Amino acid sequence: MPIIDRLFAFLDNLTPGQIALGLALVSTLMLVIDERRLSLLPLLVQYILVALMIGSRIYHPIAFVWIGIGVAICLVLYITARHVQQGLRVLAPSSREESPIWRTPPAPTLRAISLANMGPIFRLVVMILGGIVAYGLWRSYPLQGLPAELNLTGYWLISVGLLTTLTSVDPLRMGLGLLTFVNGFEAVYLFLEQSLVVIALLGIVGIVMALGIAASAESWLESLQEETAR
Amino acid sequence: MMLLALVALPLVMAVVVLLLRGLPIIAAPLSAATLIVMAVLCLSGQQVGPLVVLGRSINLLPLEAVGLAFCAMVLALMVLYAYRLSQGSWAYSLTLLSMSFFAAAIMVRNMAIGGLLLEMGVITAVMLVLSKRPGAAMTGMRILILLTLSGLLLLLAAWALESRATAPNNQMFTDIGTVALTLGFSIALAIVPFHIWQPSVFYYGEPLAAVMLSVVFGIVVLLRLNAMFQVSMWPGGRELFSALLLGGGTLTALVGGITALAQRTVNRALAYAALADMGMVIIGLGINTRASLGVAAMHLVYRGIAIVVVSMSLGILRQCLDGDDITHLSGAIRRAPLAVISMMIGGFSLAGLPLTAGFATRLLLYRAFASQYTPWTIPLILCSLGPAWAFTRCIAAALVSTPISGGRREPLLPGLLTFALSLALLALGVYPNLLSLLPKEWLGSLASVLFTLRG
Repeated sequence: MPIIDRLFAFLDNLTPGQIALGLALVSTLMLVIDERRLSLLPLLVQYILVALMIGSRIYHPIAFVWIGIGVAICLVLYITARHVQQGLRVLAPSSREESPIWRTPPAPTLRAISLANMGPIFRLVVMILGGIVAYGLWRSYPLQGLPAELNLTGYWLISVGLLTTLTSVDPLRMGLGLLTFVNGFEAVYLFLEQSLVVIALLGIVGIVMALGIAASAESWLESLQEETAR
Repeated sequence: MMLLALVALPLVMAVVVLLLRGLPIIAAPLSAATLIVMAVLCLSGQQVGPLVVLGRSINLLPLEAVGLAFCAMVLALMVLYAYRLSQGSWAYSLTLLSMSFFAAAIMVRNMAIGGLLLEMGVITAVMLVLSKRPGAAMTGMRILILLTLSGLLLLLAAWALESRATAPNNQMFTDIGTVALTLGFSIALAIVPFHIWQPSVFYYGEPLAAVMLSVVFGIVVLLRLNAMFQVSMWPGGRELFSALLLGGGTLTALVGGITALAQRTVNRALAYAALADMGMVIIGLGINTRASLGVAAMHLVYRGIAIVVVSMSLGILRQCLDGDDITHLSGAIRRAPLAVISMMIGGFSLAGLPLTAGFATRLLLYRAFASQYTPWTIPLILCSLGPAWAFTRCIAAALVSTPISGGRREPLLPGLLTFALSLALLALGVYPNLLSLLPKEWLGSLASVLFTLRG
């Protein structure tokens, strides 16, 4: 228990600037990490940090509700990520085995994935681009009445989420981008609209969205399996 | 109680049907019965005052009741059709769940809450597109992203419009509201150039998904648009949005019509014909006279029925012929006569050819458009030949006599259902006064047509 107490004390003592920095770091990690299950961990931390950021400005208990929603979303996605990761491992040989491009799996979609998987450096460049776009937007169009760090965080998550969505070729990764984008929007929106009903409905939208992403990823895997079996 | 029942009933039945999804013989009639009960509740004429739930007002205006009832009836037919031509094991539950969210979104007066409920409904509806078909999952995900973006923009617009009411001199709220509302509704209504998601629904989705996202979602979005315009709009805002609707509608009708010209599959012909027809509806709303608004509402109903007919035919043709392009359609009249005839009538109604339901309303819309923007009327009429040509090409291929060996025959019940609906389109085209047989209260709601952008 002391560990949990210390953890809460540590999280409570974080300044908004540190939270914003943490969010930038975890969204970078989410984009760079290749393993689908592992990339959910930064998403969970992202939910916790957004919850701390909005909770300190609205009502403290909202932070716990938001963390709960984040945990539920990540659990839903974890089950799917595990299934997809295992399914893909069966379908495609590991990257070490398949060096020449002409030996990539015959299914067109799988071939597209292996071609589009540009590796962590490409994704890091994408992240830097997202950061520059967010900074530019923040400097040019700061939202009136919004704290600077919340404003920048919102822009950062929205641009990184959008870029992740655009550069991904499987529904799960696109979904992670979409959730990051929505998180950025909600971080700003909840500061402007503080009705409890709206907050609750936003949470439900997040869970319905996670279910939609999970369903898309599962049906994508099924279609790949069918295509490869032919 | 009636208002709460409209949301609670499909929600509860969605869970029941989910548990019974392995038994379609029970799940399909149960889902259809739920939707029919919803339609009856909407049209029962019990006008109740606004109800306050959690401090928020909910209400169902006559026009909204008719719109919701129409959506429920259309989906009831689709669910019955889906009993013989499976649309996926989750289809019934997802349909009911979406309807529950859509009903709530229509009834809630608060713009932010309404927008969030609409978003939940559309996310659920997009799950209907998902299937094992190659490309369907990615398409579903892309549609989910675009429609989520549209939902967030509408949420932003709601905040801006509500904030503007308290600070009318702040130009920032007006700017944000205008941009967010325009982009959000353009994506949701698939107005050109934001239409890219809609043709994929017809290509990858089953007929139920196509009807849900092109007919039901379109009507729900227009009802939300109407509610937003009635509640809060700044001086000059209605005029600005009327002009935007008119421009967007004209562009959509032109692009849809021209693109349809080159299509060689039923699904693509249907997708672009539906797009062009939505353009006509939006033109009617943009002209913004009492008569044009009434005709646009009527055209929306005919468009919905025509899309249902062609989508059902498409499902049957895909099942019988393993495809719906011109090559597969060769000789289809022998194997699926009811589907081919229905496709012809439905397609021609969408294109607005004479003797079909779509003709009369299209003609009135052309006249209303010509009275104000004469030079653009001729290109608009010429572009309506695009869908007609695309469907004629498909029908010509289906009528070619070729030897058929084996294969699947047309399923009788879905075929008869499709044919009966297409006959209704034909009957309405030949004798439009048939509508006067409807109960007076329904006609009252229809005639009072109140997409009151005029304020």
